[in-house]
Amino acid sequence: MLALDNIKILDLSEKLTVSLATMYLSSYGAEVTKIERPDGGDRARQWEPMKDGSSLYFNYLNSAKKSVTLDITTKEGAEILKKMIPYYDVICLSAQAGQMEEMGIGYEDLKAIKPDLIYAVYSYFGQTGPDKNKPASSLTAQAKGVAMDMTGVHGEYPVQSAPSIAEHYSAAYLATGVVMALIDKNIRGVGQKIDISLTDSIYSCIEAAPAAYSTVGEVHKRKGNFDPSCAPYDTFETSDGYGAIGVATQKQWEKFCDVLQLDDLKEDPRFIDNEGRRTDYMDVLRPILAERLIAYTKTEIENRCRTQGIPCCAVLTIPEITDLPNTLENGYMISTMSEKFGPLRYPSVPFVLSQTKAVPFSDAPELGSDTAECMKQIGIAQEEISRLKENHVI
Amino acid sequence: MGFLDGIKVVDFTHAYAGPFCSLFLADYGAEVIKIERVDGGDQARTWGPFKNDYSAYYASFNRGKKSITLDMKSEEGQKIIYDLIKDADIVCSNFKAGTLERYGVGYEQIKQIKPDIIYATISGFGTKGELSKYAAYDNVIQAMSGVMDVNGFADKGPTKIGPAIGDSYTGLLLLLGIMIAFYHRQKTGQGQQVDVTMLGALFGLLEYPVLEYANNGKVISRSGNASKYVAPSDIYRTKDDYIAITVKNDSQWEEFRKILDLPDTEAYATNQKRLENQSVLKTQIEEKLKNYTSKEAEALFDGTQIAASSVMGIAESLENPQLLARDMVIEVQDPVMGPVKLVGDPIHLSENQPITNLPSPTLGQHTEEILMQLGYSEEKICWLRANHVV
Repeated sequence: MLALDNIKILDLSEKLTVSLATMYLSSYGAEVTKIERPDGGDRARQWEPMKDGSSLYFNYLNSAKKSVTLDITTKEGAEILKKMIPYYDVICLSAQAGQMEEMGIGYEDLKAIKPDLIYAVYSYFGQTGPDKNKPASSLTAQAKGVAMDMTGVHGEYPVQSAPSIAEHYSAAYLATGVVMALIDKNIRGVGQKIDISLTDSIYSCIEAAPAAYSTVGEVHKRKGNFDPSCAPYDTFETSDGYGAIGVATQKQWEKFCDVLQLDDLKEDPRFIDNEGRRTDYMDVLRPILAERLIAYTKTEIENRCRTQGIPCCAVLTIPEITDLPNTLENGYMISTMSEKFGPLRYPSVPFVLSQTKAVPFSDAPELGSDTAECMKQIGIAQEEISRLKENHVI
Repeated sequence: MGFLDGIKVVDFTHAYAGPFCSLFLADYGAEVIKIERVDGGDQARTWGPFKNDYSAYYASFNRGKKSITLDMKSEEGQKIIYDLIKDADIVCSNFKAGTLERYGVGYEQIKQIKPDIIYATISGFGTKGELSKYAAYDNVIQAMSGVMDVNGFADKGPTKIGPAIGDSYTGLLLLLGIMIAFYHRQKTGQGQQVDVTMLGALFGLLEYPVLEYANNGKVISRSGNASKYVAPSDIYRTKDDYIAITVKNDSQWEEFRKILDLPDTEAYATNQKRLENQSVLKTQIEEKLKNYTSKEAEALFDGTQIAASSVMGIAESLENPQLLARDMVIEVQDPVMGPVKLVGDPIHLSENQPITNLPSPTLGQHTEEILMQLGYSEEKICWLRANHVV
């Protein structure tokens, strides 16, 4: 039995965020139908990495979904979408404030058709607030999320995180919001609107920065790889790469000094407690450690610390982590036989339920593979389907 | 009033990852009972900064929860936990793998007492393999997962994502898993385990480079802020700080070029050419932008379709009209620290207002209240205190 196997979702989005959210939901059993533009469909169909001329990226994000072509920007297309609504529990989409409303398919329009509809919308800044219609890209919306100001080296350029973390947080919030609304619908029979923004989502990950500033005026800004709460919690260059260390308790600090022959630092009154170690860390403790740790290889530091219970790790490259025995043992990568591509390796869904397991991977749909069936279901006659095709509505 | 009203969570979480998850459960009305060590409680209580000797860090992720102190190793302490779990709905933990089993509160043990429990755990490196026994922290997970290696500039070292995403993202995925499990329990009455690992969560962020390597053998590492697909799209230095700008197409480029008075040259005529010549272009853009503060530079593009945003810092964000309009900055009256600003709830459900005005608990603030609800007499509670069980 699958957790969400009675749930039908329409997904009007393109690219990463909402597709990822509906992929999580389809993995746990929901039936997801993508609505795609008739002229080429989701732009992610062209996104790298490619194999045999098709996108592995798209294939990964849209595993096991259905595809219906429909141009919702046409009047006829919008009407067809409205006819589809009664057959679905949830609609997920990506749109700026006002965009769907202008086409007559905003939340209120669709709610009039199906009062308990769950309507989840994703945008850069959200559906409300003074900036809701400000032009944006992922990069510029992230710039308003503070996490960017907190990432990178002090005095140098801020860094837009390279994994699309803002999109991944947004996707997880959107999927969570949908399931929360499904739970609430079970309790009260109501539908609702879920309004997720990229800026809000990335802002939610800035840790204790607002509390630190508003209580004692401490500004959390980028500090390299150092964490301001405890020290040494940082990355150091080694003789053959980089190593990360996370000393968070007094006991860990003492053991850290023992295994790396730093007895003098252990005795040093400046570093006797966490408050002392984190005070002016960048100018005091960090330079001393940087000089001492370069003598070791990254695995030497890892092994010495790890066996003593001190959190630490060599900085791994993509090949190193992908092929690490631990990655395979814990199922982070799955190997699958794709009908379309042959053998493939994919990252697995990163949360695991013991009873209602995620469904195995299967290929993403060809563009429009489920259009005819869907049109039939909502009562559109064969001739009409042909006419709509000719007019590029579907 | 939230959709989790009446739901009881026994919360063994500590530090950041687990508390980030259970925070949302409290937001939507669940009673979250946090189990803390008698001697000092959650280690985050010792993490700075402090005001009036209270951790602003702890306050950030524990608002609206209840705190009971408990010695989980003692027989009496375990009995209290069993009493609590008997009518609980969800158990959360981010102890390293095996710890809860040692305390007699592993899933198999708890299932005996409460068969439909949702038992949600975060571990660091997974539950299988030799790494499973080690404790994990965010920077270690960022390092190991490959996130650090792909983040930053090609000619500089690997760069940690500033905030501890290894914790919060893992906590968020646990929340998603709990919600799916909860929905399933509503339908069927069946409980289950939900498991997320910090390493697996961050590894999952790397879809693109992992897909490239695993299927095409191509290795991707860090490459800075500039887009690979459109130019100019990058972060630029201004007179006082930085600004992010994305110019998406040729007509926007024309507008952008005119606003900044950049040269009208063949070298920038198409997106492809601007991509090829982007390092020179960046220098020219920054030459112009050094005359403006980030705020002034952002205003240059008002009324156009060009995406431009100053890189916002924490102080400014707390006054930002957009974030305020979205309830993303909230103020809680903390009984120890006074007013404290925290991040609001980004989920925005139209029919559920999150409860975000409650402070975090002091250590053991609700011990007596909870024990009395479980039927413990005042005398018994005194005895438990005297024996350091609570």
